[in-house]
Amino acid sequence: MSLAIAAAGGGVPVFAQQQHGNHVVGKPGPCAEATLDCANAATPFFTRNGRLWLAWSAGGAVSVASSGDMGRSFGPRIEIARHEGVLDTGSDARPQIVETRDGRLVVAYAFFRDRQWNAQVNVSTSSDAGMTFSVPRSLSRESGSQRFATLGVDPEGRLFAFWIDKRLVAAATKAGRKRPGGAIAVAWSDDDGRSFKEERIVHEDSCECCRIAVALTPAGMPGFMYRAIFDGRVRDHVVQVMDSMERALPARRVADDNWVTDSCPHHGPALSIAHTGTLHAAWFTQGTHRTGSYYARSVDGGLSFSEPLPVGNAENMPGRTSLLAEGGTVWMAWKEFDGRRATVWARRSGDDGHTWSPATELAMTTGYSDHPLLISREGRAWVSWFTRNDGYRLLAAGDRK
Amino acid sequence: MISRYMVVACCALVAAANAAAGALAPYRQGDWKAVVASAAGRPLIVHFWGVTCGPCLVELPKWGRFMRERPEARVVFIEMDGTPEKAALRILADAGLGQADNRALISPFDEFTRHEIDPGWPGEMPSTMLVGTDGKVRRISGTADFAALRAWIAAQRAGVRPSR
Repeated sequence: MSLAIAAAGGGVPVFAQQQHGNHVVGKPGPCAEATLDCANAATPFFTRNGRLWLAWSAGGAVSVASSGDMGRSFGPRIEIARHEGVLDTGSDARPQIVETRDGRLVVAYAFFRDRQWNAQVNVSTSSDAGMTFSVPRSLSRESGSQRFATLGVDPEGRLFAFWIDKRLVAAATKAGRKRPGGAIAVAWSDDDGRSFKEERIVHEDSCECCRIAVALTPAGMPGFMYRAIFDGRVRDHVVQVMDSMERALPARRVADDNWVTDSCPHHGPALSIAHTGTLHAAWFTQGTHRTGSYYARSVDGGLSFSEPLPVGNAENMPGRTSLLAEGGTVWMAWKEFDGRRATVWARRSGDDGHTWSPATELAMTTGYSDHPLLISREGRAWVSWFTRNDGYRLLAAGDRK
Repeated sequence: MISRYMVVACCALVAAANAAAGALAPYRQGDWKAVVASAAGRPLIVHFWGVTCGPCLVELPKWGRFMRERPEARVVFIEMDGTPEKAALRILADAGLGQADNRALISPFDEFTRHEIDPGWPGEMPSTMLVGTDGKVRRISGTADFAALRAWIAAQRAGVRPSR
């Protein structure tokens, strides 16, 4: 069943405030509306026809809109769902939109569905290039708790989703046992998110509140990276690759950070895979062996990783590094905070992550902002960044201030 | 003449009244200075937790026990997930913390909010800030070691500087 949820008319503004010239300005101060200027998180995606789509959460609603001018202005806001007070808007949660086959769009987000605060990932599909979206439905058939979904699309346009699943924890609780964390689950869809199959747990012990990073290998299979739990105590990162819909290869530890913690870091990793097969990984840790944000690469499919390279200026708490391997170039982008300004930085590597350019400051803001996200279009790298005070911007990753 | 003690006592009464009335007092970016000032030279513990944070929920009843065993301890609980009050209040009541000094963050949980509390705090939950009699703030990352907490309070009371 399809429900036309698109806002009436073509001129409904996405922002509650006026545009200032070409630059859309967000709204400072307390913000409770569903419009983009009040967003918690805004996730970009370029469709094949060149439009930039954003999926965002704001004011208890999940919405999407598209832009034909690289994010300077957007078409009408389309409301996908409304979950007042129970939408998952934590630091590592974000709604997401992807294109599967031509003109088919899929949106995923999570919300808390009951008094026990179990979460659920919902999926909504558009078959008409975003004119209308279906009524959101649960991704998983399991009744448990699913959160932090990341969607991916393989070269054939087949959709897959990874998420943090708590069915094993629920089973343990029922049996009177304690079990920390969650599990990594995956499922596939041949019909653009209308139904999912081959749902399975691919790793049984993961941190329960950190995003999962997903990237395609040169063979077109998903690679994924997440914060795992070792021996019930240590929360360090691993990478895994699926070699078929049914099987995930063993998890490989990215670095021996040794972060012994019983906590929710809300701070997941980034992964990008070059056409060479090189895995580029970035993560955050407060381990006994190292603390802060780091980058490493693997040229042997994850069997071993390079010595972790610190990301950014440690004094300014660099976090949530984004990575993009595009052609022969690798980009990293991250956010820092010096007590007054939040700044977005980028570095570029022309040799598959072996050496890196000096860091360049791309933009700044003095209010709330989402994390910077690298995205590519026709071989060029852009940093997508939403801020409350300075609006939404697509920054050329190679820009100099 | 309104003494600082009376102001502090008044604020404590308001907070307690809010908790008793079933409301969470608001906490906003910018409020940290006042929280530290309210310690007024006595040891203060500020515990940050979240309704959607699994380890936080497992630990909260232990805070309830701690409060019963140490009724003289000054502890402020601040919920950081921005979830509906009802959920937080129910969880707190179940943990035996219904009468505690409970607050909820009503502005975004971002770097601005974290930095003013502790510039080195990346935001993992739960976290607990120990405000010593010297005004210095120390962070406990993750779930708390309650034996260490009790020792810290005792040392603060005795005027002994912590060894680390």
